[in-house]
Amino acid sequence: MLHRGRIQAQGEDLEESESWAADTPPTWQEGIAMIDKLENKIPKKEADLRREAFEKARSFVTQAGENGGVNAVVQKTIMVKDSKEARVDIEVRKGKAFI
Amino acid sequence: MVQHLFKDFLKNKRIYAENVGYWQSIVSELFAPTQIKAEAYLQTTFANGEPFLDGNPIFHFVVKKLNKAVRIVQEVAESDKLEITAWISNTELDEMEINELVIVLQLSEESKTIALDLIRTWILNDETVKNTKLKIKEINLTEEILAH
Repeated sequence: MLHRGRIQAQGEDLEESESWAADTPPTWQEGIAMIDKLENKIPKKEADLRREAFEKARSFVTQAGENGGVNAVVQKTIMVKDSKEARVDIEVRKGKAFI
Repeated sequence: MVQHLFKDFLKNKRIYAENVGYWQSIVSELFAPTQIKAEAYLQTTFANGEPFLDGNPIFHFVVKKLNKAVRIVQEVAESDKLEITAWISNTELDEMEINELVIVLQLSEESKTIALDLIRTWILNDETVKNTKLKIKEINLTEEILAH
């Protein structure tokens, strides 16, 4: 596949992700939809903890959309405030994303 | 109370550039006596060339010979306490798996010293994932002790 990556929610007892692998890059709207899906599939407590981090992730993806997307390799780590482990990661491993 | 560095790095592009230059300079200094070849491996601009300018990451490099990378994420200094955390994860570069040391910090004299110590352990001493994780554990304990 030409375009690969994932959005991940990580923490002490959590590792969930939404990934893509396709011949066309995901649009920024698809990126937002992946973040929404990830936020909805983790336990509410974990989602609440990461509310601000998910918002920052959406903001980055939206900003990417306004600027022609991003080219691999991109790694973004958005930490939960006052936490050592809880975070949301955006990884664009191959190709383009969030066009 | 820690001594913050480049506190306004997100408010001013000149300070941001100086901040990036500072990381390049202190890491180059650390590697100077060695033959280590470090190179950038991440994009920090959008596809149209507009830079992220968000400190995420502020500095990054891969040492291909060691199959190891370092990524530093710098956050806005909001606390007078030592703020640093780190971990090692697997990532992918040019279809190859590499081990990445990720350091997230609020930049201060104190957190810089710890970050450089971790980079020394991970790259210069080429310690294993296990030993570097032990070192990270020590740092987290130090931080807890300093916080109380």
